[in-house]
Amino acid sequence: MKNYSNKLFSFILLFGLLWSCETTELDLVTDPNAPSPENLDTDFTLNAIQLNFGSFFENATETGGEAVRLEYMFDEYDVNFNSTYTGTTVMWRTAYADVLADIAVLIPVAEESELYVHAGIAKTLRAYVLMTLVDYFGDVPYSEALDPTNFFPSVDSGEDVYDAALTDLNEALADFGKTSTGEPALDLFYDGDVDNWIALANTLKLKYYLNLRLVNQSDAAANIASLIGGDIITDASGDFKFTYGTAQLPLSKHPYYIEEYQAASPGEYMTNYMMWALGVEKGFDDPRQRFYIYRQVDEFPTDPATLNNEIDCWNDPRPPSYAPIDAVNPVPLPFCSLFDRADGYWGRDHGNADGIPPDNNKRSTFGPYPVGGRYDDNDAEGIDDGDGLDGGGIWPIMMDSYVYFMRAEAALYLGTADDPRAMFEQGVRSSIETVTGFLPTDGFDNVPDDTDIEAYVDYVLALYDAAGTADDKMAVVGKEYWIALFGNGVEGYNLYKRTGTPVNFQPTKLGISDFPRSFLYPAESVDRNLNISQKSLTDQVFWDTNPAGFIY
Amino acid sequence: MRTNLNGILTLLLAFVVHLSFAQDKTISGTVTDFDGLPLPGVNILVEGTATGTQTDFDGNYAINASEGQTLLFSYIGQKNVRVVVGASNSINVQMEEDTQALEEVVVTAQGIKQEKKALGYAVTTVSSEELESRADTDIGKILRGKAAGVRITGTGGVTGSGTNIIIRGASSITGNNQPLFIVDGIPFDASSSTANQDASSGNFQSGNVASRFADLDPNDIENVSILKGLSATAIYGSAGRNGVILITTKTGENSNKKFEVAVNTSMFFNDVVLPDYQNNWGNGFQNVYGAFFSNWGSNFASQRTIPNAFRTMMLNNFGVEPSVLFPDRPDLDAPQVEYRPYESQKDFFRTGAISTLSVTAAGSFDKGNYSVSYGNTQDQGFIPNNSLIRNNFSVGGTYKFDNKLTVSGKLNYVQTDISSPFTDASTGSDVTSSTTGTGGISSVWNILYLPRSVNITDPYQHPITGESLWYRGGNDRTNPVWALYNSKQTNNTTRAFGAFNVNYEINDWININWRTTLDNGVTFAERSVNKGSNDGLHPNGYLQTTTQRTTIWDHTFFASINKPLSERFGLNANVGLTARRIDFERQGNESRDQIVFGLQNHGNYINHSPIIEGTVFPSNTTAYQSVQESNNPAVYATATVDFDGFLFLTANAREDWFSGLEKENRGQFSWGTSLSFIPTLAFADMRSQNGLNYLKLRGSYGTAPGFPGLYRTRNILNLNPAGFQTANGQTVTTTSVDNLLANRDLQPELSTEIEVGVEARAFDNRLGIDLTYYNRETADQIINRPIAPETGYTQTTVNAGNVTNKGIELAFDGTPIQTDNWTWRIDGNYTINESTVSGLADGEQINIGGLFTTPSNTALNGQALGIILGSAVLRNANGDRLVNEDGSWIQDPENRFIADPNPDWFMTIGSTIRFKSLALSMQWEYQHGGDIVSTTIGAIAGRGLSGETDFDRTQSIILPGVRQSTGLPNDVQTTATEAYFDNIGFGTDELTVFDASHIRLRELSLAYTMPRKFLDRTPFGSLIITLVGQNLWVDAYNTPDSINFDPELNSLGVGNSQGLDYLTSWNSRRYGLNLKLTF
Repeated sequence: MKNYSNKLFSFILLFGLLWSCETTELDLVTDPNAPSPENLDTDFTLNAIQLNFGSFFENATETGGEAVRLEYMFDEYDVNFNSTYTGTTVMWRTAYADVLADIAVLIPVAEESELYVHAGIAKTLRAYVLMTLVDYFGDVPYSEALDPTNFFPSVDSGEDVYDAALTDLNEALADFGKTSTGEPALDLFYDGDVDNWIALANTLKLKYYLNLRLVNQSDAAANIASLIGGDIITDASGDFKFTYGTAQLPLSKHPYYIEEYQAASPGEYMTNYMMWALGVEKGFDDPRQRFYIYRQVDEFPTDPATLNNEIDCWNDPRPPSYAPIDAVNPVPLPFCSLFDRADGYWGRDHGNADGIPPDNNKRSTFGPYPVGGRYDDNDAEGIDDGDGLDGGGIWPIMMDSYVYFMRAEAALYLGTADDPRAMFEQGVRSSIETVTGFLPTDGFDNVPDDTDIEAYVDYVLALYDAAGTADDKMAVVGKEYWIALFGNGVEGYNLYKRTGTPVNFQPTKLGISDFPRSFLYPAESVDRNLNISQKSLTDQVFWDTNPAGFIY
Repeated sequence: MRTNLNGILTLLLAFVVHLSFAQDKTISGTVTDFDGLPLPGVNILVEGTATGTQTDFDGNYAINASEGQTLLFSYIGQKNVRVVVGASNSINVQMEEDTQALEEVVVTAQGIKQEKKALGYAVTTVSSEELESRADTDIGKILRGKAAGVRITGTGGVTGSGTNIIIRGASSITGNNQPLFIVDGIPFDASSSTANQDASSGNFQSGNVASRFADLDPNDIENVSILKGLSATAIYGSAGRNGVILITTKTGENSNKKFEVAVNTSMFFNDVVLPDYQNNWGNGFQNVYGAFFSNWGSNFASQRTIPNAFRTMMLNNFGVEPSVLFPDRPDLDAPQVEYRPYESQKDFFRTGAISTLSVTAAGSFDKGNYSVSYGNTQDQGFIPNNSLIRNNFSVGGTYKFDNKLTVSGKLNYVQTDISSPFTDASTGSDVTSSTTGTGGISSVWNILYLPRSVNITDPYQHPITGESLWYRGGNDRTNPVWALYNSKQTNNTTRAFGAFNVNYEINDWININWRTTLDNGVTFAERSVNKGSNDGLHPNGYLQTTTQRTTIWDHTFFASINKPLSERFGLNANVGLTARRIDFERQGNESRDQIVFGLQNHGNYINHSPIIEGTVFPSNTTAYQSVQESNNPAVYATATVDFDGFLFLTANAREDWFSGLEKENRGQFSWGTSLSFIPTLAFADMRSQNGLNYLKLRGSYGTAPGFPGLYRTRNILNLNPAGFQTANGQTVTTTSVDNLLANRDLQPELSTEIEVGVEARAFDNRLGIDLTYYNRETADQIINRPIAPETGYTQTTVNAGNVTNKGIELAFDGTPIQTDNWTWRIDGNYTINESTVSGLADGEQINIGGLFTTPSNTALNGQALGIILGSAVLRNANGDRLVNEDGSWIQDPENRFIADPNPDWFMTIGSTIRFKSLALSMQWEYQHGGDIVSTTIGAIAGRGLSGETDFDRTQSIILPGVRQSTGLPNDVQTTATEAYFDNIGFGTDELTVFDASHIRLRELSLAYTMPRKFLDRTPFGSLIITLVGQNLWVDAYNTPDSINFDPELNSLGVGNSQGLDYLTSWNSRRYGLNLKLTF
C-alpha cells in the first residue's frame, strides 16, 4: 500500500507541476492587443474627431447631393433613400459612434487640462454635426444619447438640438478667447489658426440663423445683422474644407477619387442636369465646367445598336413627369443624355434606374475640383489612377463663396445691411476663383481666361437685374449658389428646402415619389433602439415651414 | 468490457458448485473471426458446467469436455456459437459479427466505453464502414445525413471549403454553435480558420475558409460517437455544450489480431452539375445584341453575326488588332463573328480527380497494442487550380506494465494544403468592386452568369503585360479564366496533435488516470492576385500572407471507480480535475503594387503594410497581429448506480472557471442527471424472440455553462498609428473610443435540457427504433448585441435573450429480408427541430449574419432563430403586390421578414441489399421546408440565362399585382428584360426567396467482398472493391428546374448565418472506385 501511495503521490505532483504553470491563471481579462482607455491622448483624439468629421461630411454630402442633383441618384427617392441607404446609415453611425462619442470624451479632459483650443474645435465641430443631423433627420437623439447605460435613447426635438448647437458655438467662441496651456499638435482644417476657427464658429452661427429665418424671421434678421459686421469667413483663407493628401499608404486620397479613378474607373455617373446647367442652359460654357467634369470621350455613338447598348433610353419618349417644368422653362431640360451638345458629356438623368451598361470608359467623371481629378483639356481619354491632382482634392464644407450667397439671401429676405447684388456677385467670383485654382499643372489649352470669367459674371448679373421680385432674384442667386456648391450636398439640400431654388430641377423619370423633406432614420437605429420609430420622407424639419410638395 | 467480464465471472462462480463427472477429454482449436483472423479472449464454456476458458493471444484454446456436451463460444460483438463435442478432439470456430448486438458498447464522454443500455441519453454512433471509402475527403461532409438531430451544411462544392455542423438546432444567438471535436481524447481545434481575409471583403471570403476538421483522414477513423444532449456532454462543460463529435481513430486497441495491415485506396472524379442554360437568346438588353453582362439580347435565329466584341475591346484599349498580340490567331481580327450559344461554363470547369491512399498497420500483443498509419489524399476541385493535398501520419500504442501501470500515447502529424483561385461570394453583380468597397474580388463564380454568346475560350491574358482581357468594350471586368490562373488563395496547415495517458490501477475497483493532450496547428495562408486584374480593389496586384497558430493544451486527472455495492447494486463513478488552455497567435503582411508580373513575393511589391489595411477606405485599419490566451479549469464528478443491470441512475456535477470573465463572475456550476430503464430485462415476460426483444426508456436533465468570447469586459482604446497622411506628408495618428462597449458584469450563461427517449428492438432484432424528444433552453445568454450608434457604440456584449429548441429525433432500422444469400436492410433517421427566440426587448432585432443589412439572419422574439430580414415588395391592404408606372414592383420602404431558413424536418433513408458477396447501398435524404435567399437563381434568371427564360421575349409582360396609381389590377406593360432584370435580378430580396425542400441521393455504392476461398492462397485477409458515388442527384423541386440548384449550402461559411446563397458554391457529384484490402 505504501508503494501505491508513493506512486500516487508522484503522479499527482507531476501533474500538478505541469498544471500550475500557466493553465490555471485566470486573470486574463485585459486585451493584450490594444491600449486601454487610460491611454487616451488629447491630440490623437482630436485627430480622430477631425478625420471622422471628414467622413461624416462625405456621407452627408453624398446623401444631400443625390437629392438635389449634384450627384447621380439611382431610382426614385423612396427606393434610393430607404432605411438602409448607405449615406444616411454611415452618416448617422459616424456622427454618433465616432465624432460625437470622441468629442464627449475629449471635452472634459481638454477643459480640465485647460486645452481650450482643443475644446473649442471640438465644440465647433459638434455644432456642425448636430445642425446637420437636424437638417437631415428632424428630431434626433441628443440629451439621452452617448450614455453607455441607456441603449434606447429617445429623440429630442430638432429645435432643442439646434439650441444645443448654438450653445456649443457660443462656448467655442468663449474657449477660443481663453489662454490655453497648449495648442493641438495637428489641425487638419486650419493648421491651428484660432482666428480661422473663430470666423468659422461665427459663420456657422450665420448659417444657423439663416436656416431659422422661416420660423423666426426677426431673430434671424437681428442676429445675422450683427454677425455680418463681425468676424466671419470673408475670403478663401478662411475656407472650411477637408484637404486630402495623395499618399497611397495610408490611402489618403479624396474618397471620390479613389472610387472613380482608382477603384471602379469610374463607378458613378455625373448628373445630366448639372452638366446641362454648366454647358447648355446659359448658352455658353461655365468657366468651372472643365474643373467639375472630365469627359472620357468627346462624342456620342450614333448607330442604334451601340446606343441600345450604352444609352438605352436614347429613343424613349419624354416622360410625362417633365410636362410641368417644360411648360415654364425656356431652355428644354435634358432627357436621357446631352445629345444636343454632342461632345461626350456622358451622364445620367436624376433617378434613372436602368441597368448599368458597359460604358465605364465613356462616362464623364469628376474633374480636379473638388476631388482632385483630371482636367478636361479635350483629351477625351480614359481615366487612370494617378491622373490629375492624384486625389489631392477637398471637401468644401464652408467656403467663402457660400457665405456671400447666404448673405445675399439674408439681404433679400431679411433686409440686412448687405447689398444682395454685391454679395451675389462676390459669391460667383469667389467660387470661380477657388475652383479655377485647382488646375493641376500649366500647359493646358482650354483654360477659361479672365474674359470668359467676366462674361460669365456679367451674364448672371444681368439675369439678377432682370429678375423682379425677391423670389425671382433668389432663383438666380440660388442657381449660382447651387453651381458653386458642387461637392457640398449639405448646403445644397438646405438651400433647396429653404428656398426652393434652383427652380428648374430635372424631375425623376416617374415623378411618383415625394422629395425627401427629411430622411428616414437608419434601419440599424430603428431596429436597435426601441424608442425610435420610423418617420416619413415627407416629414419636415422644424425650421422648414414651406408648404408640403413645394419642391420635387 | 469490465462489466461484461464481471458477468462472466459471476456466471463461473454460480456454476462452481456443480461437479462434472463426465468422461473428459481435451478439446483444442482456434477461434477466428469472420475474416479468418484469430480472436483472443473468446470465452468458452462447457454448457451446464462451470468449466470455462479463454482463447489465448493466437486464438487458441484448450478445454476439457466430454462427447455430447456443448461448447458455448461467446465474445462481445460476435454471435454466440454452440458446438456439440463429437469424436474429434479439435474444434475450430469461426465467429460471426453480431451487427445488432443488444449489449452494444459505445464510446461516451472522455472516451469511456459504456454499454449503451446504461445511458440515459441519446448517442449516435457511426462506424468506420459508414465513413471510409467515401468520395468526400472531409469528415464533416461525410457525416451528412448519418445522424438524427444533426444538420450539416457545406459552404459549397469548392474543395477545402468549410462545413457547418449544428446539433439539435442553434442555441446561441450570436455565439458559437459548432460542436466540439474530440479525437482520441484530444480536444481538437475544429474551428474555421479566419486567416487570410482582408478587411474590406472579409465576409465575402468566409465561404472559402476551411474547417479545421479537414485535417482528419476519414479512412483512419474507427468510429464516431455523436453526443447530442447536455447530459451526454456534461463532462466537457462549456466546450461540449453544442454537442460533441467523438472520434476514435484506428489505434489497434480493439484489434484481435497479432498484426494486420489494412490498405484503402481509391480514385474518384469530381464533376460540376451546371444549370441548363437556354440556347435561343444571347448577350444584350431589350432584345438587342450588346456586349453586356446580361443575356437579354436578340434571338440567335434573328441575326447571323455580331460585331467581334473581343476585337472591339482590343482596339478600344490597346489600339491594335488582336493579331498583333496574338500572331497565330488572325481569326480574331474578323470584324464580325458568328452569333451563337457557347458552352462556356462547361469549358471553364473541369472534372477533378481525387485519389486517396490510407495504410494502417495495427497489432496487439499480450501487453498492449500499437498502430501506425499513413494517409494521402489528393482532392482536386472541379474548378481548375482548386485542390486539397493532405498527408496524415500517426503512431500510437498502449503498453501494460506489470506493475499495473498502463501507458498509452498517440501522435498525429498532418499537413494539409488547400489551394484555390478566388471563389469569393458574389452578389451576382459585383464583377468588380462596388463603390462601398465590399465587392467580391474577381470571383470565379461570375462565370455562372456569363452570357450565352460569349466564347470563354478567347484569349484571356495580354501576352506582354499579363493583364486580363475580356469581351467588354472597356475591358473593365476581370475575365474569370484569368482569375483561375492569376488569383490564388492558399491555406497550408501543419498540425501535430497527440495524447499521452497514464493509467494506474490502484486496486480492482479504482483506476487513476492522467492524460495530457496537445493540439498545435500552424496555418500559413496567402491571398494574392497578379497585377492587371482590372479589378477595382487590386488593379496593380496584391499579396497578403498570414500566419496563425492555435494551441490547445488539455490536462485531465481523473479517478474511475467501478465497484459492485451489493449483489444487485453497482457503482460506476468518475471524479476529475481538468484544465484546458487555448493559445492563439496570428500575424500578417500585405503588399500592393506588384513590380514584375506573376511573381508573388513581398519583395516584388512596392507598398507594404504590416497590418490589414482597408483597401478602399483609408480609415479602415485594423491591427492584424493578435494574441489571445484563455484558461478553463474545472472539477467534475459523475456517478452511475445500476440496479440489476436494468436500471441505471446517473448524476453529474461540474464547476468551471473561465479566465475571460471578471473575478466575481468566473465560476459556473452545472449538473445533470439521467435515468435508463430496460423493462425487457426487468420483466423477462415482456421479451420474446419474435415479438419485443428489447425496450429501453430513458430520461435526462442536463445543464451546461457557456462562456463569452475573449476580452469583452474591459474597454479598449482604438489606436490607429497612421490613419491618414496630409497633403504635406504629415502622418496622422488617432486614438478614439472603441465602438465595442465592454460589459464588466458579463455572466456565464447556462443551457438546460430535458431529454426523454425510448429504444426498442423487435421481431428477432429485425426492427429497431430509437426515439428522442428534447427541449433545450439557453436563457439570458451571452449576446454580441448590436446597439444603436446614438449610444456612442455600435456593439456590446450582454446577457439577454433566450433560445428554445424543441425537437424529435428518430432513428430506425429494419431488415425486411434476411436469408442465407439475401439481406435487405433499411435504416434511417428523422429530425424535427423548432427553435423559438424570446427574452429580447420587444421588437428588438439582433442581426446574426449576412453580407449586408439585408438580407440577413435575425433574432426576434417569438420567431425561429435566424429568420431572414430583407427588402420586400410593397403590398396593399389585401396583400397584392403594388406596381409602379414603369410596370415594376415597388419596393416596400420597410424591410420585412421574408424567409425562415430553418427546415421543418429532414430525414435520411438508407438501404443496403446484400446478395452473397455483393452489397448495394444507397442513402437518400429529404429536407422539408427551410427557405433560401438565392442570389444564384436571381443572377441566372435575372440575367436571362436560365431555361425558364426561353420564352418569346418580344412580348411584353404585365407583372401580377395592383397598379399603385389606380388601385386597379396592373395593366402597365413592361419588357421581358425589365420584368426579369429589374425585378428578379436586381429587385427586392423577397423575389429571390425559394423553398429549399429537396430530395437527394447522397450515396450510392456497390461493394464486392471477395469470398475468402479465393483469398486463401493470397497474402490478403480480405478484399473489398466498391463502386461509389456521392451526391449523385439533387432535386430542389421548388426552385427553377433549369438551375439544378443545390440548396444545401450557406455561402457565408461556418457560423450562425444560414439560408443565404451568394453564388459561392456549385452542385458537384463525386464518383469512383475504392479498394480496401487487409493483409
